Amino acid sequence: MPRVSLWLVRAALVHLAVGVTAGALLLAGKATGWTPDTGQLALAHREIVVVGWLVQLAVGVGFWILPPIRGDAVREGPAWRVAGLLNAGVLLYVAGCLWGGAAGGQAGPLLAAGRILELLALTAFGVPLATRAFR
Amino acid sequence: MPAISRLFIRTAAVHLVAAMGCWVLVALPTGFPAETSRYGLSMATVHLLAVGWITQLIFGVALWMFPRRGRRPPRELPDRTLDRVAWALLNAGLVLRLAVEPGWTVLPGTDVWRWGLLASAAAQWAAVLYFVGRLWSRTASR
Repeated sequence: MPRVSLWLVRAALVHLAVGVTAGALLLAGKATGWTPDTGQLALAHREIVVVGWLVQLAVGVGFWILPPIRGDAVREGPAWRVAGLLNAGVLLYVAGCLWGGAAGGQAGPLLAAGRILELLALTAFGVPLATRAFR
Repeated sequence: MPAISRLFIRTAAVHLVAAMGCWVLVALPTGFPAETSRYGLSMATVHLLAVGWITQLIFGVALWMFPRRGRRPPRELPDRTLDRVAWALLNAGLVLRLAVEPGWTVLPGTDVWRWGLLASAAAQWAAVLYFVGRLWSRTASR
């Protein structure tokens, strides 16, 4: 497994651990009545699980398995940029979710920046995949 | 394919069908389920899909396909009891959530629903963290 895939999969596993912990807190909160900013925590939980875990795992395995973009010494540079942008995007968006709850909803720029970074990451992954896969 | 992978993939398929069945119920225009429990049912259904279907499918395939130290072929992967215990915890947590959450939105604060939700949260959390640890050790570079 290329090093970039190794780290993407590991990052995805970390996101899964954090995301499932947030989810367990939310579900336990329903039972106990502990509800601090559950709306913001739920948004963060969804982002971490969907983008940080599922999408990132697919990207990491894609770099490993898919022939057009299999990681090697030449192509790992772009792959590392995808990894960096994707994780930075998720972290910014989650920070925006949690900050938004604390700051009375003033976290719009953080949320937008996070999503833009995620879009850049997935474009950098998806465009080469689409063009090479359909040669 | 290792036995635990087969177990995960078959269970994931069951969750997929169950989730689609619940999704039909949520979409029904009639009075069943009651509007007050529709939100709880839809939340439980989303988690049947995200955890029961997709994440279990990933666990099953990853345990089978991710690199292993040494040269043992997949069919000789030891059948760990803890793997099966964690699988059982994960699925018990999901089924419990599906059973309890729709009722929770209608009857919040009752002991059965409170303990059911807590047990569901704890079971799923413990099982997922166990498999995160299992898969972490398999992400080894060549």
